Amino acid sequence: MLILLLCLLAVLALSPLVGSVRIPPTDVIGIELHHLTGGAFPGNPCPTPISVAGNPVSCSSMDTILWDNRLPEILLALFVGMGLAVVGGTMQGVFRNPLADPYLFGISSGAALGAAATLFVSQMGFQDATLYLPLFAFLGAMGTGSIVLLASRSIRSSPETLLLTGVAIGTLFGGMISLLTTLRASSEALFITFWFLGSFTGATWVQVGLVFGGVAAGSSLLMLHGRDLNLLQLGDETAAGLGADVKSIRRRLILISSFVTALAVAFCGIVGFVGLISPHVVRRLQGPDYRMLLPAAALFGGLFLVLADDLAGSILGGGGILPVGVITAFVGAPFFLWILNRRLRGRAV
Amino acid sequence: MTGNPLRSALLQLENVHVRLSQQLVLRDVSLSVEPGEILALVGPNGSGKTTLLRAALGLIKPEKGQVFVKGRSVTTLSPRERALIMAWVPQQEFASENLTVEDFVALGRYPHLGSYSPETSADNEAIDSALTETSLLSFRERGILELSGGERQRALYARALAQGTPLLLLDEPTSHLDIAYQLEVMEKLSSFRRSAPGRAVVVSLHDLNLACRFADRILWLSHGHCVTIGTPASTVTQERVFEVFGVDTSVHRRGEHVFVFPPERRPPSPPKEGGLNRVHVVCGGGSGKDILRELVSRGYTVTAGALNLLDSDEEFCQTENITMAVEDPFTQLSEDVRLRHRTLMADAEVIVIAPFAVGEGNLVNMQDPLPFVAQRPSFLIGGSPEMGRDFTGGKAADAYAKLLRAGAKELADLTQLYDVLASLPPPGKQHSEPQPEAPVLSH
Repeated sequence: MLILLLCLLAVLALSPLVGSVRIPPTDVIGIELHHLTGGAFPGNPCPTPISVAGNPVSCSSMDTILWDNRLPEILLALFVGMGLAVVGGTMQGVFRNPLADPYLFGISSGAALGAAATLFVSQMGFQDATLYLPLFAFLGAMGTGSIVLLASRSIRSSPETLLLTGVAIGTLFGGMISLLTTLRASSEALFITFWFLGSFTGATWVQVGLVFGGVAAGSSLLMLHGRDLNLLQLGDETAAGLGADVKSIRRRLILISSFVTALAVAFCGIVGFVGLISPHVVRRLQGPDYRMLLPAAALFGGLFLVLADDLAGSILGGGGILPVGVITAFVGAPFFLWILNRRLRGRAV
Repeated sequence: MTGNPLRSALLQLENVHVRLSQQLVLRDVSLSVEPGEILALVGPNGSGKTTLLRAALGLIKPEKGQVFVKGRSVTTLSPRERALIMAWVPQQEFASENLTVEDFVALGRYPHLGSYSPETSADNEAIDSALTETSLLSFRERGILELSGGERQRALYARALAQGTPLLLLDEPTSHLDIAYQLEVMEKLSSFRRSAPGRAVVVSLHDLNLACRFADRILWLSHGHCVTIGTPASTVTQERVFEVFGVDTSVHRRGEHVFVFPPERRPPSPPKEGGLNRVHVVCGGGSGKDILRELVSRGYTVTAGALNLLDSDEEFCQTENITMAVEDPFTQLSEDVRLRHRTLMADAEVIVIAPFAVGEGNLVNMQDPLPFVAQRPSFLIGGSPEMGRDFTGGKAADAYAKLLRAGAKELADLTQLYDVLASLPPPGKQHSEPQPEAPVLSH
């Protein structure tokens, strides 16, 4: 866990250096200190002037690039990664299913459907769609969460049937989102498409604040349920025999998970596989005790998404930006197949 | 809901009916568990032992009837309150994560801690002493999915001990253990309920002898209903074991102890599938013992007659539970007994006439089989009575000759008899044409 934390801090320190405009470390530190001290220090935030294609870049441009674009993006990636990883770990525990992930179970699609519905809300006279977006995304995620929860109770479901239920719901919602975007103007449709791929580009400090607040609250609550999650691994009947109100614990955990997922999706679109991969990696590193697994998964998830975002921002070069969802999919899909393969061979994951 | 007269009972079931997926699995079961006792549930697989335990724990809801825990209806208790009184050791459990033994046992403290409270030193002490008690201290860092069946069962027991409840409910806790550990577990249960006042154990057991040895009372379950409940000495009888388990055993008592032995090993069916099965042996004076013993051990259903009480063949039949026609000691065979003898012969598929010594008293044993030997395979063993066993002045030899003429076959010795018996075709096929070895394909 300590190693994970150190890695994360290192990546956070280095990430601001990555991007189409290379800002030197001295200037990064200068600008950061300048903002953190309220402009009092240092006198000149940019001791090392730079130029792009022969044109000098002013200190205020660097400031804008770093403080208004790059840092919010990094922090948003960090918090979303942390949140989705904790939610992924929680879902795997709640459903006793190593394949669980907010993305795979269609909860993200539910959130996206809710988000797409805000397009109509803004049309109906509400001025600022971004204010309603998290709310609608939250409702969408909650709705899907309850559907999956119902499915897990009514069918005597194997992990695989639950997964298929999630896939079916995700596909249905995908169709409905396509329908909504077709009905609306093309610029908004483009926005939705971007959504599906997941991206942190264009992150603002307001978004960072909202996501930080939500993820911090939601993840801490989930982490407090480590003992409950350990208990659920023994099966519902044993858990009930040991004095747990299994239904209410499960409802509570799914509710909080939907909340965190909704916030993440609302601002960044659908970033898949973080929630799947992180708990598994951590489980292999330090065992399955959920009391330790969730905090460690949070660190790993944050690390993973910040790295993925750095990669997405620099891989194309020349200012081109790859949606971060592309990176996570490229890493996550093979990983998913690997888990499936292990399951089919009857080995514990 | 608290108006229960028997406040001293830790656990009480009143006319409990349980239905699981349309099936009535428990019918009208009542019991009460008093402090200090071990109550064993015995019954064949599917008789409802596990269901009874689950209903007692409040894990399944009875269709009718009530469950009281310490005088309070189990439905009014919260899951945590229940788990502070009753600990549950299921027969097996499937964990989906490979928790360490220590973390696994620590979950026994859940009812004391709930979701959020941090573990205190009291919790850690309870966990340590449970691990010590089950000799799992050296396993504490091991994953539970890596344990053997027996070790996992001990971990389940350790978790229940860590729970620190006055009442333990265990489902077949000895099923994956070797004999040494079985005894150890039962000794532990025995000392558990003595270690503090107000403790009790309810345990379902496969092994009747373990139940007899360790239980204070036994509840006999059959097809979901309680046949009887009482001390081993008062409830364990050969008839009850047969009634509940459908198996013949012998029940022995030594002082307060009761032992149940399985039936003597015998092949489940006659040597030849669908062959003749019911064999009647005419014998007396010990002439039939060897034949009878061998036929019984080969799985035939055997009857004998007509014998006098205290005859050595008669005594053998008594111990082997062989049906026979019996006369008073040292008297001539009466009309009644001869009639009974004839019915036994009429029922038999095969008649074997042993080389018994014939006097006036049992001459009818050589004469009465005559009408029956013609209708079924019949065998005379050891040659004519003239050869030194006719004490009737030739009447026995005459009767013997008549039996031969009626169709009975003479066999020199017993091995011949067993071979012939094994090769006899099933009834009704005695005169049919031999079947071709392989079916001929038609065009």
